[in-house]
Amino acid sequence: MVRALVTWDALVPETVYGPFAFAVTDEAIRRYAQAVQDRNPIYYDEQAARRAGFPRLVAPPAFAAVLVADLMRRALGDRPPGGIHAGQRFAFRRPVYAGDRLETTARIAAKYERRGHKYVELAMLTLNQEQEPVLAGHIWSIWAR
Amino acid sequence: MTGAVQMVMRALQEGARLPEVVRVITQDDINRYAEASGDANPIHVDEAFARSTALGGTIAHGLACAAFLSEIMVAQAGRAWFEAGVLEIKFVRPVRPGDAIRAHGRITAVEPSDRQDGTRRVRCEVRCTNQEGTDVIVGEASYVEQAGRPLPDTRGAAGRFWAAAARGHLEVQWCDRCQQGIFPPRAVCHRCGNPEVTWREVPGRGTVYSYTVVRRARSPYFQGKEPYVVALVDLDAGGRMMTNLVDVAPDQVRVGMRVSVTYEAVTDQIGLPLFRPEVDA
Repeated sequence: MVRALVTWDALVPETVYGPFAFAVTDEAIRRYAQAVQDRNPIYYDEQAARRAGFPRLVAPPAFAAVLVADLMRRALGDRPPGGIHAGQRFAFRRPVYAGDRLETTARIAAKYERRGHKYVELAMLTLNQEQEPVLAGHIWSIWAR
Repeated sequence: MTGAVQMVMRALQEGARLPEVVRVITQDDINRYAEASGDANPIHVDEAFARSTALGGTIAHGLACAAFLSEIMVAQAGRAWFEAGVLEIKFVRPVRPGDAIRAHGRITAVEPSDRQDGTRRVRCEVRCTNQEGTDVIVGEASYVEQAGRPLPDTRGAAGRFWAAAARGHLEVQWCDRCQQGIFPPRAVCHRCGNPEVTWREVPGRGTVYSYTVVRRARSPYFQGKEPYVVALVDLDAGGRMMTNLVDVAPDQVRVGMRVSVTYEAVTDQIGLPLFRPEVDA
């Protein structure tokens, strides 16, 4: 099925998206850690995570990138291919664990043109199942022409 | 306890280098990352499409390289990175298959954190650099260092007190005129004004003058250790000392309770005299 592409012109600042649910699994954590070539055993072995003081298998903090990708896909739908990630801010608040049920909301913080590029800035906040913030972030994205 | 209570400073110096990693990124790695992250933008995985763009070929996901920066910050800061890490970066050059990316950085500032609890925010300049020495990601990483136990200032007369405790001795100042101990340490006897104060080891026995039970700690080190007892103990030798009562349930503590000293060794120069219920001989 072909869906219409979301255009930059159609984006309205302050629009809120979500909450989007995301269930964190052991498998997703391991696959992510492998993909970024991080060999720290706390991301693969629950016993190692416990020895390091975590209650369960823990996700690398940069696993937040998975939430960003999920958010972008679900909030902004089908974008024209070839957009570029220009900048990113992450503020980590709590570890993310296997079994967590996360919810991410996002807001279009700004859109602007600079040097011929069309930018969108998204602000995101992710809570865990206890409604505790685990991550706050900003995404600066260049829209594909 | 005497003197200003300060955090013991860890060796976090401006200019100090962070741990680093070097990673080669292949198209296979990029494909694997696309699958693991759910970001299958064709600019990363579709070589024909990518060749048709101004980039002229596929590029790695920016956040895949950002993960290397997060990895070195875990090595630097440990759990503090998970709980109080901030990473803000710009992707300034594309990363192409075959590039060897070095994630590195250095500490630029160590300053009081905004928590007002003695912890410090450590600011670092971080970058990912390719095999040609060109930056591909630049930015800042910062974290609030993990709290250690707040420790006393050992400068001045009080240093002798903490050092004696580190060896398992309770030493207080002594006034020969009053024939009593003096605590906390000071320049003259607070009872008679005698400037000729000396030091002597005294028996570690006393009586609980007052106490409180802490159920919600503000200092991160003590969070999770509640409830615990902070007490004022009148030493038999003279002097009133603020301390913790240990080996006793908070609801068993009474004013007037007899207690004896025990020590928590922290460093070569600092021991903490703590008190527990006196055991009848």
